[in-house]
Amino acid sequence: MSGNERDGTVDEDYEFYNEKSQAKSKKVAFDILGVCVSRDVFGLANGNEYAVGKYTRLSIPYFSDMEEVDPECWITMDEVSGERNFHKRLKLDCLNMRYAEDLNSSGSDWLLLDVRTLTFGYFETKFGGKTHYYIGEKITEDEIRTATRKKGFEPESIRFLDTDDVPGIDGMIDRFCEFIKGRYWSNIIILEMKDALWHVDKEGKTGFLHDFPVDRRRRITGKYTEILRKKLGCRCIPMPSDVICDYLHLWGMSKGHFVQEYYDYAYRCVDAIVKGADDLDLRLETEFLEACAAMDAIRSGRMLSRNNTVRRAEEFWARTGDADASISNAQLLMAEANNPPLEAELAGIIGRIWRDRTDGKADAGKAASWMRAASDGGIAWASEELEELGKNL
Amino acid sequence: MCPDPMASAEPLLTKKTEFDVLCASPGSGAAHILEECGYRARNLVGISFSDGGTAGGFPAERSEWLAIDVGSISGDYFIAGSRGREAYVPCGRFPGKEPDGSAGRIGFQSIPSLDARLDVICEAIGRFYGKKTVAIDLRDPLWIMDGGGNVRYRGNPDEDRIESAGRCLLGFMERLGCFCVRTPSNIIAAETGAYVPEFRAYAESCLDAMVSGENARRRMFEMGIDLAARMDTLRGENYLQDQNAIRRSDRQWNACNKKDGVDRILEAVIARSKNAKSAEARGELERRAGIIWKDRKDGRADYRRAAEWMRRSAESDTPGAKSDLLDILWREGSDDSLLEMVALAREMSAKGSPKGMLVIGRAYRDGKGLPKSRENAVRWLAEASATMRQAEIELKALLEAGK
Repeated sequence: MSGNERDGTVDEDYEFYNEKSQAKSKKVAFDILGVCVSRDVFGLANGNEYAVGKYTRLSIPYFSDMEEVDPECWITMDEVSGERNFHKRLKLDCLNMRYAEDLNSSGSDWLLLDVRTLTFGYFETKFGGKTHYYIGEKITEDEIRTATRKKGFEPESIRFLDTDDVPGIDGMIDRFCEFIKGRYWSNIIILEMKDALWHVDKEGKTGFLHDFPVDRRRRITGKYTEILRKKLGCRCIPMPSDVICDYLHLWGMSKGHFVQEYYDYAYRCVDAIVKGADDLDLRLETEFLEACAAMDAIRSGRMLSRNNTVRRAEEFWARTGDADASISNAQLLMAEANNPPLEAELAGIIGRIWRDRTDGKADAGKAASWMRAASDGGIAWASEELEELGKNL
Repeated sequence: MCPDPMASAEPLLTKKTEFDVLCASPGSGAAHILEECGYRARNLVGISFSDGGTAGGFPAERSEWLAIDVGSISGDYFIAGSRGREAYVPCGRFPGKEPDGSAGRIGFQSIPSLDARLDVICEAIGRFYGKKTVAIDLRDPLWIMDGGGNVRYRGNPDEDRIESAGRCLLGFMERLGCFCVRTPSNIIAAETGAYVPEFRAYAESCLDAMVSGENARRRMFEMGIDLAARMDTLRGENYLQDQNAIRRSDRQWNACNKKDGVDRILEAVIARSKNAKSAEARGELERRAGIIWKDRKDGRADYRRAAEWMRRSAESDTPGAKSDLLDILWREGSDDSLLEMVALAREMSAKGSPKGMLVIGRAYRDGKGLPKSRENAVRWLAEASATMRQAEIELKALLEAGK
């Protein structure tokens, strides 16, 4: 499992989303305050009309202070630990207190925000006669000490607090809302975030996942989402309570790594809000009910989830030596899919198996026929590969 | 399902707006909810699907609003009809028996040409009620709260029913653009089946917003988001309470001096275990009671009682409880205890537990619960020592003693 077992947190891949956000200047850009779920709405959903500007974690207590740190006192990438540079950068954002400056200079028009980072709690640190708060996940006490010493102070105390226990959190929320309203006006969307209670495993089977800490995290995210939504008066994209997480998610298994259908739903909502769709209220409600119905259908096994099934089919494709079995397995998935975009993608994978099989029975004609079905179903890579096949036929 | 059976039989109708209710059976949950919220459900309109695709006929004297009872409509139907015309009538209308001439039953989603039939019904609804329609979707609750406030997952959701209701709701929403009062999928109900009171408050606020007409759809939608969050909060507050109980118990035990106070702490821990909201917390607290009996700092350890509490804790799969129980049974050392210990150790070792293997090794080594056998002891300790430092130490000692 990737990520932090305790908090069900996730590993992010900055490079991936950066790549997906290329040609930023031509797109409406979003800053993101939150976790990878918000970011993945733009990276994993079936849509690519938006770019990601600044993406960092939400730290509400920071906005009560917003004291700039002299660049000479910043700590550097070498002074923090992290599996990836992206993790280190998140730490630097927090320890060098750079949120406000980065958001102000991002150039993005919109903000997408989720409160999942509030489940991490905070390290309360006292130094220089003041109290500061650092996000209580991934950052270590030693790193806080290093950052404090670089500012010329010795920390008087460091203790961990749940967000609910941060003194004066209500006032901090007010100041945070004031800041982001001033920065983004009404272009703010909240993405409700809940840990999944269900999962779909690597064999495509669904199961119930509920455990003790999930209740804690869902309580915190529910509470602060409601507070922020009411204070900001902005649109909120709710998460189906029965949202399902995906064992074969691009970033690995976590209770915050959801099935593809969730990201597609959230993306459609973002799109409708940004474009000011007609009868937006009805549209968002219908989208939500569709998403709930999709989760029900996946859980009951009546519909296969797209990413999970495609990943499994890709494993068949990798076994080109036993291509007859691979094709028959992929066709079986197609018959059970009950999900048109997925069926189209599976058709493309069957096309790939016919093209790449190594048992001497490769058939470019059959490959092209399957690839055409995928292309007609709107699968972009299938169109490209069909064209390639055409050249070779 | 949702109406509270403990509520007054004659709800107080305080509001002037009246509703007709499109439903499949006389005991409509939507009608109950309306009345609980102070609205009158004036006419129950029975739905059926015939070749004409029409509903059972809307009354001549109609109410201003129509409520659509999604839960009942999305249930099963009897296949009926005569003279070559197909008809599907709700099973709820014929409780406990099949009507004469029925050719079997069919689920809502499997009704032939369902979309066309819904088109016809929705066209009639639009003609009679305009935009004044609301779909009321009452789900079977999957979370149950007992009298002590403990919320547990009921399990075994009726997937067909859930999916059918979801599709039915969307069918009406997409055709009518109607308002929607819905139960979130994480709705919590009492053991009687009645939803927690938060649902009635939500439904009433929704209906009031809808009837007053000000920005109603958005307000109703957001109230639905809040209700779902409230259900999570209910479970989460239980979590908080439980965690505090566990932390308090640990703090007290750690701070306890050797002379006195043990009985008081034990009493508090046991009381907390009884009040725990979740099975997990109850198990954790029972485990602590077992540990206190085992390690009493006043020198009055009682392994029989320790085993009793640890056994309870192990029954709810509390992490570490089985392992602790093995230690307690070993210390108690009676024939029955050793028999139980060996059986438990075997069960654990079969699942790959090194602690189980270690205990079997010790039992063979010391002839406690198993016939003394150095050879078997070495075998089991060696197996456990692959992943357990303690087993490695004891294996080494055994081998050295044999030299």
